[in-house]
Amino acid sequence: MQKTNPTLFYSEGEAPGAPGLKGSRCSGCGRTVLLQVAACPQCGQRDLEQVCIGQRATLGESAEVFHSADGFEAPYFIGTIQTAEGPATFAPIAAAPGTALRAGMPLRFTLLERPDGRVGFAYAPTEQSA
Amino acid sequence: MKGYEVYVRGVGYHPFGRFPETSLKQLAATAALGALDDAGLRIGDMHAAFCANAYAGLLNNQESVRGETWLRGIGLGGIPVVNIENACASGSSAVHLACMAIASGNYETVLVVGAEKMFVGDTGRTLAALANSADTEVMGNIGLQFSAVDAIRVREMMAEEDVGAEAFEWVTMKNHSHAVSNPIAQYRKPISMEQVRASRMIADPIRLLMCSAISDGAAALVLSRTPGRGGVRVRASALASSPWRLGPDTLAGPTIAANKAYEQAGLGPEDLHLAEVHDAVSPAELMHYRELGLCGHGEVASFVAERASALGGRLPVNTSGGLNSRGHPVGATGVAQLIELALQLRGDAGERQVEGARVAMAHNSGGWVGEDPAVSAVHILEKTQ
Repeated sequence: MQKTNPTLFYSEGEAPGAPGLKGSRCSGCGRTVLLQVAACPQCGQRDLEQVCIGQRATLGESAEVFHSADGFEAPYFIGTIQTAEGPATFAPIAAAPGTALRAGMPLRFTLLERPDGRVGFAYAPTEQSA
Repeated sequence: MKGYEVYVRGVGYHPFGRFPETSLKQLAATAALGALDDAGLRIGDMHAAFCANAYAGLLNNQESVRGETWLRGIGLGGIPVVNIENACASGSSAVHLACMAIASGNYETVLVVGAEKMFVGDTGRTLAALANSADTEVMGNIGLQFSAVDAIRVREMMAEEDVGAEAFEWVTMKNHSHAVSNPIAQYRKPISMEQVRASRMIADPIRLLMCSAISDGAAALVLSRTPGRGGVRVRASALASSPWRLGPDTLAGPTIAANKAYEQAGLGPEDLHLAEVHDAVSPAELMHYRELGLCGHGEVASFVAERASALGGRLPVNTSGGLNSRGHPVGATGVAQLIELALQLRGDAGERQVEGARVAMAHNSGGWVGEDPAVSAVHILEKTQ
């Protein structure tokens, strides 16, 4: 299985708790950050555990996009998400066109089969939108 | 700014727009020669050159030694040439390095050239190049275009400020009206709020006419320890990378750069007479008002209602037309902002002249990393004569 963003997310079985985003947890201060980093941005410690994060997240602001890109057929949604562990990032939001998304909605990580045969990811609302 | 004083000695440009018959070398050379002529100097008087470009590798098949290729044709040889890539802030990053070079005392007079050729007959290829100005491991392949990044950031502002479509249409109309008398500008026709509203949605709430366009163009400055016309001095040159947002008090990248610049200059936003800000989409200009301290948090709507940022207002913003109307040939943008400030401070801005302008700011951001622009640059210029 080829992934669209191999350094950004785990698929099933690749790490405890996968699928989810790739993160690093500092053994010194306990800070968790997105991606596998070489040194903790908070305390400088270089002993970091590679962890799977972001199985659950909260939606920040989002926008409906009306110009296709990266194989995403417009209209589609993209937004900022904040993982339960703290790190925030941009992510595709798996919601039907015209859905009334709102900041604060709970989301779950989901793998997404892409038109080119690769596997990507998105965040799906876990509750009915307004 | 510490060290020797740095003055804007000359400005030059190639107009921004679509120039299919003009090469990147020709664009850059036109701007460089214009700046030399304006300064009354020759290329042989330059001690170094700093050249900004973002996408020539992807779009023009010139990955390396861009500046050396641009300037050889105007007689440059033997002096140091430094090539700078910092996404949409490449131009201001080049100016920053040039200022540091002069302030340090190691160089006395330098040439800064920013140039970009984005019309290559394939808009998709150009948009794909622009998308590279982010951490592609994180932001690639997820359908994220910069218009969507800006749409989300504008929505974050909308959650805290009482602004919406009408304010966004107004700021777009304002910047188009400013660009009418700017000979550099790509779009020099006024547009109405109705026209903005009727243009198609790109990424809600960003409409087509709110977006800066693909552009070819170049801009150049001669910076020197010796004053030029008007004695326009660089009072601050600040650069900030994307901060790690480790706590609730982390400042936005543009705010970090602005605070550094205010500190260097010993001035505050209340001392400014005009500003050029990075309106890659026009509603982002409103966001930058508060990020740069031009108005307080919660005051964006009243700042707009007062028309404070229009020509004739108390703090005109983007008198050049901004990225939205002047155009956004990426490597040239940050340099072009400083040309506008220098012309205003010299009293050479013609119909768009801000009367009595003595202190002016430029803010230029580029790319995206983490939760902020990858780079934010702020310069403050002052008229000393």
